Amino acid sequence: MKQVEKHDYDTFVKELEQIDIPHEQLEESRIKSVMHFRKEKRNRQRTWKGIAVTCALLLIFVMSIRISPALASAIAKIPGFAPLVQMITDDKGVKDILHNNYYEELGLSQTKNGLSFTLQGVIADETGMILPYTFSAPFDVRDLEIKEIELRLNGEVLPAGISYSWYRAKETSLIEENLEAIFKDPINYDNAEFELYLQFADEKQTEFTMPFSLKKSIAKTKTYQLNEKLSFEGQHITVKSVSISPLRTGITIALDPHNDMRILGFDDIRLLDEKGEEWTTISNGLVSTGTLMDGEETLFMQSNYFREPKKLTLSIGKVKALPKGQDFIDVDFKQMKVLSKPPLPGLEVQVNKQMVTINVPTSYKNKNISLLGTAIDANGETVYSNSGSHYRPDEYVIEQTETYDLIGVVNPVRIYFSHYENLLEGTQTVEIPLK
Amino acid sequence: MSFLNEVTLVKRAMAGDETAFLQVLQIYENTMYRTAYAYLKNEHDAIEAVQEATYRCLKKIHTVKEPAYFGTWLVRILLNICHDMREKSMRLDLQEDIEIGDTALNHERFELTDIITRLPREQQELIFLKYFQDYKNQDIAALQNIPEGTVKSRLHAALKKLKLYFMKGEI
Repeated sequence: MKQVEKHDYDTFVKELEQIDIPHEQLEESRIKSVMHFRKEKRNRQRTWKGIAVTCALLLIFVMSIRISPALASAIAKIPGFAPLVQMITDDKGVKDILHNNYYEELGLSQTKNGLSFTLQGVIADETGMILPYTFSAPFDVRDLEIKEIELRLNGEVLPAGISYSWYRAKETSLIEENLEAIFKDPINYDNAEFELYLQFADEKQTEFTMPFSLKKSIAKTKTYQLNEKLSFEGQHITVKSVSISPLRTGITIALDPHNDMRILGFDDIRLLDEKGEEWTTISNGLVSTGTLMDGEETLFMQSNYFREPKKLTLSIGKVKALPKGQDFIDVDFKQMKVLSKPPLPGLEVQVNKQMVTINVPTSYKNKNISLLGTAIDANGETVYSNSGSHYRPDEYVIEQTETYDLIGVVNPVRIYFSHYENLLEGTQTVEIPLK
Repeated sequence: MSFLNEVTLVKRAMAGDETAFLQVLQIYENTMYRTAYAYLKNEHDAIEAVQEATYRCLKKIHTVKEPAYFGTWLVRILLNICHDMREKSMRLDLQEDIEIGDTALNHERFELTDIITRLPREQQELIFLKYFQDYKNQDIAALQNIPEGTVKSRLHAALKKLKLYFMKGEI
């Protein structure tokens, strides 16, 4: 009996071994799966195309807890406030909004096909809206996806970037989160009737339409024209303007085209009032519009709109820059070769199929930083990345793999750095003349 | 690739590293394809099943509890997909009743694998794990959270059933 069994299973394994493996097709199918997965992931973040919006997703580092956990849990119990609690701990501007009663409660609920959606309230200003919502169902909703999402003004779809995300590691039947809408141009709130439209990707493609209007008057944005020139190791920048609205403070910075270094970004940018209290960049939400690559960018920071400080100082330090000509790598995807890379310490680059893997040293801990930015092919066309992944083999090296869509792309491709910890000396300040 | 390296790769893949993910999947390429082929009997469906399994795996990789048993987890996903695909195609066969001449040869060649895929899903899983993936009884037991003795008796039952199929020549 035993022997027969053994014989049978040898035959089985042999039979299996006879099956030829189509390696190439399988490799292709793997890449297709990854693409499919990414596409789906991307669809979760819908952004209006007209504005170059950079959203820092899930930056899971809490810089400091600014309110007590006890207060946070107390606020979380007030209906409609739970989704905002995380924002309060992360953003002092949102905390001020709540303190100043600028939050408008809506409490609109609808239930369809077993799904319940509640639009808790709204914080609106000329730049956008934050819409806290809760969503529940009698089943696990962590993988449920939103298919369509629109914010309508008097029946017309608003040209707004709307972002949302939820991530739950465990099964859950309740989601409490915020939608964030960003307007390209200020909208007219007079006699405004809004509608939030959502379609879920469940079996029945359940749709919700929540009409709402606002009773509180909308706070006007305060804008200060500065045109203040700053210089870091001979590289010049101009702080053009600062505009403060309840949800965010925008700082528009232009680069001097005659600089011999390309400025990649500012790792330390802060607003300080006369008491030395700081407002820093937003860690989870809209980060900027425009890009420094094009010479001008508006960076967004937490808002101190409701504080009415006596004095306001903008402080800029840790300017990241690379000499022009040493701020990119050239790769040939066909030959799978790195054609050139700058002689920067610790830089490693590899090309494999449509993937570029790069390693650079870092002094940051627990920070997701994107190393590679704009990519341009031999014809000057932008090469789009299907996004990438970050990985930290140890604390002092970041590894990033970026996968590019190479259809119609002409080699070689030039990929510019979007981050390198080559910091210019000094911190500069600008006084903002408050009226 | 040593086992330890594989576990490291799986951990990286779980943390969201797609390069690591692709590398791990490449290690399992042969196993996955052959398993799918044994089940579905043609290249096109087998590739489709592997592709679907890859996608589901990517979507759910953060739920892997024990990186050392990643391979098993993957094979289970794949078997579920194959099973569903075959169910669907069987329903079509009933309606259309088409005689497929080309595959007859293959059917003879892979008689045993064919019969194995007619076993209930749990038993197939056991057989694939034990004889194709070379898992030890105690690993399977740890993995499925059942006593080792149960693994033995279930395997025995599966074997007995197989023998029956062989003798009768049909199911």
